[in-house]
Amino acid sequence: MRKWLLSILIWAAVSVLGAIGFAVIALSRGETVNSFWLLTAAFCSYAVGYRFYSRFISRKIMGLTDKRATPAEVHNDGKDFVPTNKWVLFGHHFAAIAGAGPLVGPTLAAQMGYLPGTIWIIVGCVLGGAVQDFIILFGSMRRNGKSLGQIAKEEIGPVGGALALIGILAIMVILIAVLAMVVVNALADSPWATFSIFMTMPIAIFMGLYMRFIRPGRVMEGSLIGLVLLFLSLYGGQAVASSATWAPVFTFSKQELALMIIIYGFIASILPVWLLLAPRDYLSSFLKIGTIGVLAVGIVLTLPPLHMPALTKFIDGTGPVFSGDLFPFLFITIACGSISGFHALISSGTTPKMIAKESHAPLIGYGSMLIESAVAIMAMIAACVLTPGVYFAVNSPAAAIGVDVAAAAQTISSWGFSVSPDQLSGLANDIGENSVLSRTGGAPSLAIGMAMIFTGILGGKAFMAFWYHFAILFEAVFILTTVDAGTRVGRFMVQDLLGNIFPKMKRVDWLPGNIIGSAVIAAGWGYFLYQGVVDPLGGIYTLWPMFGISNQMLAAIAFAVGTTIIFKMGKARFAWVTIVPMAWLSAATLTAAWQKLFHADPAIGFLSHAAKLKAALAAQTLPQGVKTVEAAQKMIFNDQVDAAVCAILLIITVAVIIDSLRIWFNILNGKRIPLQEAPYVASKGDAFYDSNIHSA
Amino acid sequence: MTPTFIRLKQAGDKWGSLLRKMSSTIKTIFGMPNYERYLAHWYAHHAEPGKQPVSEKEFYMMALHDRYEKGGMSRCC
Repeated sequence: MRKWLLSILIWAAVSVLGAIGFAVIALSRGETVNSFWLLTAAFCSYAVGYRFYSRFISRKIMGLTDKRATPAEVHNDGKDFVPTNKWVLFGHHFAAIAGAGPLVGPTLAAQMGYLPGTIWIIVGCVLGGAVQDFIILFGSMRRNGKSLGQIAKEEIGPVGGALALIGILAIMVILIAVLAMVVVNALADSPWATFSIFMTMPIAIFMGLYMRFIRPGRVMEGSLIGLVLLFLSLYGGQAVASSATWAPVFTFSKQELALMIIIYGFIASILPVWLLLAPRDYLSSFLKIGTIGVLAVGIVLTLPPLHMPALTKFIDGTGPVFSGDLFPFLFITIACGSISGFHALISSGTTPKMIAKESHAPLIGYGSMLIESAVAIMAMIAACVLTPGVYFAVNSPAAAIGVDVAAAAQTISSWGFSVSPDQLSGLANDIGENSVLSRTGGAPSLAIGMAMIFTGILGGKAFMAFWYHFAILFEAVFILTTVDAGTRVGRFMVQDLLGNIFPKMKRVDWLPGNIIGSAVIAAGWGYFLYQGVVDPLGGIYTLWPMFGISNQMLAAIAFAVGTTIIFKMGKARFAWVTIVPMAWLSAATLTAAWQKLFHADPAIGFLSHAAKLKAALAAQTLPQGVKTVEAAQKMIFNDQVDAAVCAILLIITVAVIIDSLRIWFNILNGKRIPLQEAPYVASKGDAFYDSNIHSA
Repeated sequence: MTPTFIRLKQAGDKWGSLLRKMSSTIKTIFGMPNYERYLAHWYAHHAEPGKQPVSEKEFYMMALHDRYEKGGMSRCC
């Protein structure tokens, strides 16, 4: 009785504290807000969401029970199906879903102020993203670890399944292009960053040879050696950057870097994985978790004040970082960290095969996503510790603010965010770069924010350049791991598709098939990357919304699959759990895709932008920032390609939802459509658990 | 063996087993090949007279193949 009362009191206190956090961040005007309140609002919401909502879902809808054996218990093969300690598996799942997305999206969204993005990150995650990850993890766990594509095919039908697969391929291509774009923007004209990133290739190859031939299978030793070498190269980068001979060798334009990354992705997809891809994967995993941990410690220890206002005037859609109104564009700019469709692929990957007991699923599926959302909150904090003047100088394309500090400071000050040319050149000097202007893509902005936070704890200003390049190195390393691994996965998909026509293509170890598949996929994302590089608006401006649309489209598909499962389980009265986020996402994504296609403002609509360029050419003039007629014609063509991609995404989303609606209505009309779950196997219970659980 | 030596050895074993456990945990979290886990599974379920578990090197190549050559997505944006 008293325990029961204590629990009520504690949860009431947590709820009140969270409400106070929200009140402080929402109501403060004019003065700076401390990041403590953002963290309070977030963590109290996560705690309440986890304690109540995830439990509601697991009891009322899923009926999780430890009496039912998980795939890990049934198949227990020591390789894929391995019953794993729930906290270790939580770490595994989080490491798999964490990436660059939750760091970039909030940084871009900060142009509207910290408030809209923060609310969307918290609410979207608790009611949407975490639910999606959880329900797909559950669906896959009850189906022997099947993938999202297979589940869609079996539960919705062959049409929905095939469309989902095309959607997955489309999102891969755009995802790789936009992430590669982030790296290009971070490395352009920066010999220090370029040198340390380039060094990761020989380091990874050395690790690969070490783990294959010198000490076969000793991955921990190899990784430790690699990490030490990585830090040496980061240190060496400073010497390279200050050397008159070596700095020019590692200074590249965006075009050159884009071509190099395309070639890298192609080669990494062909080479054996042990030589380059796997060792780089290990390096980047360590770096990723380590840096997220350090960032968290830095923020908690310093609790920096936020200089960005709660709302800026750019909620009207005229902002320089991305175009379009708060609705729908905020909701596709922040995808990962709030709701990320890509997680549905991870939740139906290795994790469901490793769950030891069904009751572990809420922590792993719902809980990991809460931490991902916390990472997005930290990225938002890192973006808002910059003064707005600096933030816009770093994140606005050159077409908006000009190419020298005087022009940039004047333009940005005219927007109402005062900044002086000296501040901008002084900051560039502090971080050891030539310029901070127009380093779009989120990574440099985040790196500056992280450098400011870390400098407050360790090393003082002398260390700022080091911290900046450390942050750039870490982002670039794990983005390039997504580029190479994504190219490889895309290559398998292409080979599989082409294999329907030429059966030999399906063999992944057949070299010509390997080369053709890799070339097709690298050319696919390479096209979008190169288009972004030559775009006078700087690429991110155009590509990030397309990435957001594709990611949220995948999330809508995942929710459609989840809802279908709920209907088939006979739990239609609780289907609002997935229908509400699906409806919201579909509304945001379809509106965004529609506006990207048909909006009359050329800053938003691809077709109206193309029309504007055409009109300029017809009037014998060149549009602003475009140097030749050929370049303008190419831009028109690019606009048309982007419009076509948006249209395809839009059609796929609508088609999958319609296909699912058909099933839902049939069930509501009393038709029985069987659920395609794996048969029930009774668990051996604790006897099995105690003797087989791998606490490690 | 002197008592000091035994104590040191016991302490060393304790730290060694803690390190092995940590290393195995890290491997599971990051999806790295985990030979110790495989051996434990093999001896528990597949051990028969005349049969041998695969070597660490062979296991390493098999595990890499399983993780990267089957087309599954192992990481996110």
